[in-house]
Amino acid sequence: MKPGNNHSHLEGQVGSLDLLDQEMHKKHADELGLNVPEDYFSQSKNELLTKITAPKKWILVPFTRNKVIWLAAASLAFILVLNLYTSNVNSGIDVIPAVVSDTIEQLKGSGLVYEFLESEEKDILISSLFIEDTELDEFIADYMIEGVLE
Amino acid sequence: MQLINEDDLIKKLKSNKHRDKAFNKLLDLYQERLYWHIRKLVLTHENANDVLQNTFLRIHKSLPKFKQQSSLHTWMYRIAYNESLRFLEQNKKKNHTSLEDVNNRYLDNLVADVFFDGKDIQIKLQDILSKLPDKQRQIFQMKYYDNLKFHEMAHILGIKEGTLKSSYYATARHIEKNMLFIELLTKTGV
Repeated sequence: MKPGNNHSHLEGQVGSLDLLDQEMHKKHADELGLNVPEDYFSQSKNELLTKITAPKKWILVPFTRNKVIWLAAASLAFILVLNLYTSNVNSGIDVIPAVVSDTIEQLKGSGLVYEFLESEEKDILISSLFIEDTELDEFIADYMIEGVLE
Repeated sequence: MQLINEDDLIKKLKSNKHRDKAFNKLLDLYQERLYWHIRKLVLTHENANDVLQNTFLRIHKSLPKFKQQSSLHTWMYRIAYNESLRFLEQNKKKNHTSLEDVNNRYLDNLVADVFFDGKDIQIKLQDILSKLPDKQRQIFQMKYYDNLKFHEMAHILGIKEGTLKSSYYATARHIEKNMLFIELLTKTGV
């Protein structure tokens, strides 16, 4: 059914609808034994109208209160994240546990650690002694030109 | 005497200016009819009153969204029907009762209601109705007592008109036969 074609039920007189209601009431009472308290429908109507026209209860939450709550929550979240991050960093490979450092010391004493832990570093330091100043100047100049071009 | 046009009423119900007055009119027109529709579904007056209040509150709330895809009349009956079913479902869950229990208690609940004052013959009719499957009983009551048209019932219940017609006439025949039988038993004093 399209909008605008719906007059069928209400095009009539209020009086005839009252009659229909009376007939309906009689039929329900006589045949089914169903009844209602006296004056029920007018009371029910008033109750409904009161409920419908009652002003809505709005809960006002001040913006400033909201703002403070959000700021507090954001700060807490930031502190938590920072805390987690730093604890992860501290427990990373930069911090060598005591057991490991003791072991390294023992290995150093026995001369075994040289090859594995110190050879590369010492190689670089020793080889740097043999670099000519001209080579170093060239390297710095190239590095700077590259930096400028980029 | 006053002529009422449904389109005008809907316009007024949707306008902020005339809404309260139009809703008042809507209650005058439909409160009683929807009450009887609900009462037959939930049986007791107390329950029917609760469901009727919820129905009109929902109608009031949903009016701005009413798209007039059906008549206002049918739309309101559909809301009343759904509210009644929702109420029955909640009651079933609350009391931990099965559908079978609900059907078995149909007559007990009805007779226990202060606002039921049926005599023997009405109790017998209610007894016959209570033994019908829910949908079949609802179809019969909506046609016979609520004077709804088959196409309106089809929209409310979501059942094809042909199915509704055959169900209604079969139920009517069944009730008539049983009532005649009861009458005969009463007359012969069996």
